[in-house]
Amino acid sequence: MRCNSALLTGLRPEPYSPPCHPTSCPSHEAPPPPPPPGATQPKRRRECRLQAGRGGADELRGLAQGPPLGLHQQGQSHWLLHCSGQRQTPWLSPRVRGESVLRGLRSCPSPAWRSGPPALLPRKMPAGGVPHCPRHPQSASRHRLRASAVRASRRHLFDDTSSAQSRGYGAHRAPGSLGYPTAPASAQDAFLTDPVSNMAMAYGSSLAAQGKELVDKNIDRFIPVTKLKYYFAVDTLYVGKKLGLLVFPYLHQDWEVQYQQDTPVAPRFDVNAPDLYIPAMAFITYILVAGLALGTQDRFSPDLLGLQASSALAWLTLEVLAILLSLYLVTVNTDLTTIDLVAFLGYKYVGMIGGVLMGLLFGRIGYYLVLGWCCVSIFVFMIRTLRLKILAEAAAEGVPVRGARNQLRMYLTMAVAAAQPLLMYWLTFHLVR
Amino acid sequence: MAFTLYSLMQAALLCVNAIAVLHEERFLKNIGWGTDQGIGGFGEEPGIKSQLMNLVRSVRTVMRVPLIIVNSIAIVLLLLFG
Repeated sequence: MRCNSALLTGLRPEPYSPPCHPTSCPSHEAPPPPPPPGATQPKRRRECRLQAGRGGADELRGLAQGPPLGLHQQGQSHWLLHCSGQRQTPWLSPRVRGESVLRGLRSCPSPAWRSGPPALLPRKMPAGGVPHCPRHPQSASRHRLRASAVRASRRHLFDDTSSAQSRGYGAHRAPGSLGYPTAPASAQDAFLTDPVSNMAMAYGSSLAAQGKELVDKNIDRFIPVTKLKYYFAVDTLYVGKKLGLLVFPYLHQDWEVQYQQDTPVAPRFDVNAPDLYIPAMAFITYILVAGLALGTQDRFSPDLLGLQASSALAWLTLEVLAILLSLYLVTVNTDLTTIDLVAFLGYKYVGMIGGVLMGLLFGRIGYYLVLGWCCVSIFVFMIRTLRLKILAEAAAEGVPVRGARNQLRMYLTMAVAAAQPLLMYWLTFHLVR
Repeated sequence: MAFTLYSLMQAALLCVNAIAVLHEERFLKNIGWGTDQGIGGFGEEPGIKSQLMNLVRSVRTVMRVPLIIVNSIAIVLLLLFG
């Protein structure tokens, strides 16, 4: 049984079914019948296993005596305000926020919530306070077949903080300017109180809202904006941890990305999730550091910056195309998307920056030392990350599987990982003299 | 380091042209890469060779018309700007 229906049945005494978006609340259908006792468990992704039956509902009801239920009695708006003040707000776009308040109950931490009965909280609570799906040994090894339809529902499941304020602001401006009650004191006030101009302003603002909706709807066809926003949902803690992981990946144990109802968790909540913030920033920093390095050797001219940028981008594009081609040829069923791949391949710029900076400070010795260290780290990082994506079944069981197919995949992973140090050297050696 | 995006595009255009000029009857059949020789049933794994054959066939089918356009543009630009 999924988490949502567990909470719904546990907390609300009266039968309440919030108007729910079909793709984000699949639990409103009847739960699938339990498998016959002899059948093997079907291959499923990891799901949150907060069971509501057999005593789980009692715990939920026991918890519901506390503050959360009291908050409910004050109305939903209070809970929304409470949630929006938190650092980790529910992963909802403003559109569905009103209809999934109860989901916010689960994913929105509050002090009273944290002190609830320990049996309710999952074992590993990450820093974001998001319930972490307990490690089910069977499903952890499952192969994730990703359909593009699943990715379409991602837009409802992470906190899109970029448009909420602007939308709220835009909506509040129009009513504020209508119905100006006091007497006109100047030409501007006279303009505002004139009913015709009031109507004109209302019409204009509604036109603007319509136009904005149209643009929002259509831009998603050309640039997958919501998908890109997932990759930029980062915070400082994540960036720090990820940079540490890129430079020292040897002690990290768990490399799997956590899932929440079939979609991966936003990078803010899981250090293993790929993001595009670090690669983008590292790329720009690399260009600037290259300009700095050329400048210290009196070889700088502004068009060289553009040349460096173009060259690095061209190598990145070539790498992405080569890896996509080889993934197609080896017929790997993987959920590694193109943007994921760009993210992983962009992580090497971090090592390159470190190497060039050390080379500027300490000469070639420093450059070789730091670059060698970063090369080995990136090699290990890529192998451990790609192993889970490309070699899903073999990696999870931990056994080196023989067989032509898996061997081919292993070679592919090794080749991708080995190309990283080579490119790191190739793109930086001419900068350090 | 003269490897720019423009040279990447040129290289890609040349590669796609190379795939497009492979003649079906005169060449591909003779080396066993014809489109009617690749159907391997509905088994699990297509294998690299049949994937390559599928790729060649789909590139030839899909890119025929766009290649005409892109090649014309490239020819005009190269004539004008060298």
